[in-house]
Amino acid sequence: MRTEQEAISAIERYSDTVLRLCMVHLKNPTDTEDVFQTVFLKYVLSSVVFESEEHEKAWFIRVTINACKDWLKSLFRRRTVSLDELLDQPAAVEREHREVLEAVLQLPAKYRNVVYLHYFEGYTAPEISDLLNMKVNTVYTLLTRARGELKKTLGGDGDE
Amino acid sequence: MSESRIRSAFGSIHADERLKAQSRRYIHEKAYSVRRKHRQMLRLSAAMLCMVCLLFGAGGVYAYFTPTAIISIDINPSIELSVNRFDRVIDVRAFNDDGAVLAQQLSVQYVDFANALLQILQNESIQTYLAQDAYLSIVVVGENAQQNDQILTLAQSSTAHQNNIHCGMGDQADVETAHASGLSCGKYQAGKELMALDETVTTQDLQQMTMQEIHHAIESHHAHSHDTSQHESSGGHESGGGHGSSGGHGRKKHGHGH
Repeated sequence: MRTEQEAISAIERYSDTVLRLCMVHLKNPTDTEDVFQTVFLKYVLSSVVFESEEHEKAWFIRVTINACKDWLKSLFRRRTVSLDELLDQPAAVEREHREVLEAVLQLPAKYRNVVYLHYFEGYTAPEISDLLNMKVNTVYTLLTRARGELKKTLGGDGDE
Repeated sequence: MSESRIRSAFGSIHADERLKAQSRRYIHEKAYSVRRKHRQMLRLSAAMLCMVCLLFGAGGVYAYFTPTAIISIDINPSIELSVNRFDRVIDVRAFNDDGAVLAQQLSVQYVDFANALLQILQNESIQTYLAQDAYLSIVVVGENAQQNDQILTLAQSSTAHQNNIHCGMGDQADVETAHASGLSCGKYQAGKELMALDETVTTQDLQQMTMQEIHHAIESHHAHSHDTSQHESSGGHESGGGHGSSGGHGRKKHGHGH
């Protein structure tokens, strides 16, 4: 088990990443808080030794995605709110980013992860394939399709 | 579509201080709080207590059902009581038909040996045998000398007013042989003495004999041996001056056989 100091430090370093991933998957602020806390508790109780900060971050990403999936599988816990309600939450967004986030969160679930990991976290397709345990070609396909969907919603500006 | 727009949109999302503080409290409560540690300790202690109870329970059950002494009671009914270290009768074993009938009539399972012995001595069929002056043998065999003495003392005091009763200690080494021959320890002990005097007697014969018959056979062999010795002495063989007999039977009403 890790020390409380390690836990506090991890919350400072990875809370944004964990929160964004929770938001991408859960669309519910209460669920987000529950999974958010669960992820850090898992970290405290985990005995994994991290070789680097990248390794540690990848662990948080993987564990958060899995925790969100587990949460969604639980029928008793599933609560849904509208996107508006989600984006109106205090932890959420300024007006200018709202349109983009709405577009991303409206994508099918399988696209959301790759969009977030590629466009925001800057992971390459092979890295995403490692993280999400899927084939590289599948990642490319998902990225291409997600890009197409987002273009339709947000319009292209040649910034790809 | 703009990558930078996506990047800045996600970048605008931050965990607020309230969420972080709430998570710190949650982690503290779940993993580090003294109360939780106490609860964990309590759970651990309870688990250990259960383990100890289970171990001692298993050990206790084993100890309870392991006999430490055998009381062989033979008159014609021939039975053995197995007694545990807690002085409780844990088994009644009959070695002949009369013994089986007697065992059926008794209610001595898990009763302390004192009450069990009293119940047997007060049993109607035993009383009938004793009224007819039948020979009753109570033999104690066991590894625990203190317990053996307790049982023997009780047997002696309970039968002090009766005639034709032999209370004594048996030999632990004879238990297996006795049981293999279908005889109780007490009957085998008496039978062993008879077989030493009369080589024609077998354990099968002993199974059919009452204790009275075995006792009489031993007595008559000793009497015969005594007569022969006296006859030889009065016949003028005075050269040695010693007593040719191996001695009288010397059986006491109560005594240690070994």
